[in-house]
Amino acid sequence: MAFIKKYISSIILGAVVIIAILGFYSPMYAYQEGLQIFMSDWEFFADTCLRPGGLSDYIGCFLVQFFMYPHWLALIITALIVGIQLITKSIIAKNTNTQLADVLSVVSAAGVMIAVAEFNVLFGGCVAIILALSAVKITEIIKNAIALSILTPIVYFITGGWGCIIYIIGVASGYSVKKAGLFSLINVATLLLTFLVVKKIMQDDSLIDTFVGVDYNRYPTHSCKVWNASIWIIIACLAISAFVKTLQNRIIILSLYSITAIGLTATLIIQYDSGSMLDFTVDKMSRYKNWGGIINTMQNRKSVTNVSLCYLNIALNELGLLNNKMFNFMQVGTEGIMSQDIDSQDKSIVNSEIYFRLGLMNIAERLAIDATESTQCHQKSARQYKRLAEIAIIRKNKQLAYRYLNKLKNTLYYSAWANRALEYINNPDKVEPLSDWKIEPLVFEQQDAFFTPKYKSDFILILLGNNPHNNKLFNYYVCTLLLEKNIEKLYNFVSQYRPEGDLGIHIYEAILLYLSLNNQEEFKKVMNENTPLTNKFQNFCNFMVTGGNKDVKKAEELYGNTYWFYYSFCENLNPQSANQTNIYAFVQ
Amino acid sequence: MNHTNYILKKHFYFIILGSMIMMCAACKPSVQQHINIDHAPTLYPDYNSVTIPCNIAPLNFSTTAMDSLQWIEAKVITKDNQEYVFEGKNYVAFNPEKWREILEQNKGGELNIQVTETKNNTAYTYKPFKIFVAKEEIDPYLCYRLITPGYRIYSRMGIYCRNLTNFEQNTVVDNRLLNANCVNCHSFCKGNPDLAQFHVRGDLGSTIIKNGDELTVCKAVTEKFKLNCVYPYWHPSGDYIAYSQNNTVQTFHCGDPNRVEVFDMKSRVVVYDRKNNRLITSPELNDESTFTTEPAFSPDGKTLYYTTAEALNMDIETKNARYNICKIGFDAANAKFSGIVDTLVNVVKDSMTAAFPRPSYDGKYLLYTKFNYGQFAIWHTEADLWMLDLEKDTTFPLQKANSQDVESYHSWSQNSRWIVFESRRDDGFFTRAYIAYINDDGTAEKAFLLPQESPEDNRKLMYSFNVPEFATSEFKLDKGILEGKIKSGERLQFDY
Repeated sequence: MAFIKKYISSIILGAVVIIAILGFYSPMYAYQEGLQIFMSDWEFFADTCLRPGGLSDYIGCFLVQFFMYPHWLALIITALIVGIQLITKSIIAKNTNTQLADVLSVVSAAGVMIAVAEFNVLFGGCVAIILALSAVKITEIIKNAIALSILTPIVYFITGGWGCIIYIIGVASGYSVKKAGLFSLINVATLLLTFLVVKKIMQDDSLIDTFVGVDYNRYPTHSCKVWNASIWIIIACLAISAFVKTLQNRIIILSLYSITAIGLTATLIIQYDSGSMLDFTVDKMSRYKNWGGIINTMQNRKSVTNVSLCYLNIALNELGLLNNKMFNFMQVGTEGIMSQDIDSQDKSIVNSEIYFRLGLMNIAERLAIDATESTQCHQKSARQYKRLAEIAIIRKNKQLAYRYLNKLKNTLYYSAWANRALEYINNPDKVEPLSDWKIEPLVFEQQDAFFTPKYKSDFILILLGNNPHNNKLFNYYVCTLLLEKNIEKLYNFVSQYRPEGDLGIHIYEAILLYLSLNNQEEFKKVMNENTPLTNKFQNFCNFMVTGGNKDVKKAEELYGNTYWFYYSFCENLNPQSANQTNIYAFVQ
Repeated sequence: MNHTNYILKKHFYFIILGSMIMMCAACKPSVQQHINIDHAPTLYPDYNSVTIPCNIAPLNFSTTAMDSLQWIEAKVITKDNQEYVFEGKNYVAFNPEKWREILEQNKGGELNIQVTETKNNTAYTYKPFKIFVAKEEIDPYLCYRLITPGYRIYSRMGIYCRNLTNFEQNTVVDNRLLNANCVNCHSFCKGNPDLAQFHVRGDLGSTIIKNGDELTVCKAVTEKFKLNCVYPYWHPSGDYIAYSQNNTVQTFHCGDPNRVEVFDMKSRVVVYDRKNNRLITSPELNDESTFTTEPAFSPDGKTLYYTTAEALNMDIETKNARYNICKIGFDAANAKFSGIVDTLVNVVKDSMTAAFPRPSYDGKYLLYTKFNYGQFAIWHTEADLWMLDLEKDTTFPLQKANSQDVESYHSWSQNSRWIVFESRRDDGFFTRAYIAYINDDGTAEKAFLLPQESPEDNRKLMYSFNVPEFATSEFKLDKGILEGKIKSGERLQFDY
């Protein structure tokens, strides 16, 4: 009981972190795992560590490997946050009373939690904070002013400039004002001297970047306000503890706890982007080829994103369900099947997956490299190396595959796969390939094409023209036409090429719709067949002309899983499509 | 590739390497069986029958069985039958001092190298292979950019200077210094890096001209010519820099193994007059009906070589763009062109195209790349190096230097005996720098890969070599001054 009372704030903080991670944020961290790499060789160690903040970055990369596993993820982050809170509390408690130390430590940890929950912040940054605070703790043991000064350059090199600032403030806060001033001066001078020496030796970074060291910022062209703010919160808390020696007022203490709790909760809620989390969730499933899981996740969703839809449509196509089930889900147009905008990282990743699954290896490769290059942090990206290795294996480019596999061999998570791949490429006759290695690349004997995703269906048609028997491509083509609402083109294509087998219910729905608008004679013939499809269409038309065209909710309830609903009610993306308000008038 | 300062890393590795060597010495395996093989080994890198300069760094090598080797030994036999043995666990590591001594003593001669590799406690001794040592030295430095073989997006890159007599590589400029902007197109006046230029592209976009310790940050885009200056080439006097100005587009093949196509929608050639800070051109070089690009001055500075093609609608006629190599007279004293254009290399008649004309410094030859279409050779697997004999007016491919994959972007050493170029022959994707010897008749010997301390370094490096240029001394910049000047925003505007 005494233990719980003593550590109640840590326990509550830990619980909040676990709930936030496991309940909400874990997909984001799994995605982050794929953006980085950790290799166990000496060269990676030297590359990463030989700059200020490098060791923190190294440890961060090591821990990020485990982010694919939610429970390890929760354990690591909770340990980090609670660890920061406990160490900060221990540091501050030497300067002030326990209650104030407790609340200030919770505020500090809350700041770091907010930084950890920000996608843009590299995990190494949070490791740097805990290492800096740990260094402050170590000084309590040393208690030697000269030794403390020697520690400054070490802390700078391990955690970077900001971490060293935390260290200096933390050490100073434990002394009287006079001594604190003196020690701070000595430590700042030592830091500056170290910085100048480092800058002289390692001139590759700009002046500011050499001081900062590893920029724990995934996209350095954008400022990392959240991480900087968390640093300043800790510095402020340490500074406050130097000046406010005691605070017993329960109301103030409780208010501080409340403000912290509200602030943390509110920030986590504001920062939480459900669309992005959905993207990360389905992205993780795609890495395991959990197509059924993607489909279940997207079921009955009222809001979707382009990226998640792309994954859904990949999943449907992989299971042969695209033409039959596509409109059982909310579709938003062609950006949900393949994006024409491929400049962002997430779009590069999902589009690389699309083209990989379709066999368009040049483009899958290019987008995998773009996805890697779009993050500017130092060490990346195991996931993309794996994809690039797969493409090289499929193309039977052994030398190129070796390059990526030799990197992946030195990782924890990918080494087994890499070793299997190496066995296969060295003995293709004796080792069974994994299913993805058997993907047939598209051929272009008839006519090569430049990659022009903005032309959507026309672009896919060129691919299909070269690969006429490719079912996956065929499905993508016809479904893109459906999403474009280009039912005339669809009808002409199907009429001209008369593919064998079942085309899929949505194709028949679209053909029926087209006939109803353009070919009354043919339409009547088909309607006279009196099939379940034609009866349903008749009912739909009756519904629409009797006011149903104004009742989207009802329409969705009755016909939401049909192409007709999408055509009638979803955003008109094709200027040539018929005027929606009058299309059903003919059935009267 | 690590971007860490070489010296710091070398010291860091010294302790590790020292310990490892001691450990490795104790790990030489016991051999239970000896087998003689009657052919030469398949080397990695392939240094069999290459011709090397007498001042090159050790050609540390292994075989293609590198990953499964227990031990490898090389016995070097010189012309006077002296034998030297070098060995290692995965690769042969030549002792640098001994290597220099061997090369010095065998200039103009050949080395016979017998390799014994040990796998599964069996020693396989191969038939010796040869390495020829040329009398002529190579320029001591090589500068290049390292960049991922990426496409539209890039993150890390830099310009580096490698000492060719050892393995030391220093960073000239890392783009971390410059807000992750692109750095490219470094170029020297007659190989002298004290007179150099390179471009920065991005929010700090500029052209940097280095004259000794002085750095001038320029803005090359003018009101008249709204395009930036791209491919540079110095006039031998140092008073002029020829540039192309290009509106370049990049697009991607869906099926073609060449992957990428880069072409100009518009281009012209201009010359920057440094004394008067102005761009000059001529109607022949700035003609809307042609694409004109890739200029290069002759060693006497009286001629400007360039490539030119009929201007086409590149949206639909990409594969029809074909360039010839032409020349035009240049009067350096008056900064004027002669107006008389001569076609030197007509490959268009054979439905081919030529790129990057580069004259040798002795004025005898013009080296260029020939391929199927376009002007950006590096993504064309069929691209090969060709030579024009300027005296005899004959052209021929550098058969021994070429490969089944792309050869492109070449430059000459000052003594016109060595060329360096980029090639994707290793894996069809990452470019590497290759060096080849040029004989008196302009033909080339077999090219060799730029040597690295460990052959594994070539496989580990996830960057491509780009724009390899020889230099007569180390290319150094004061990075603090460079950063300050570029970020100040002050620019010397080129006039027209």
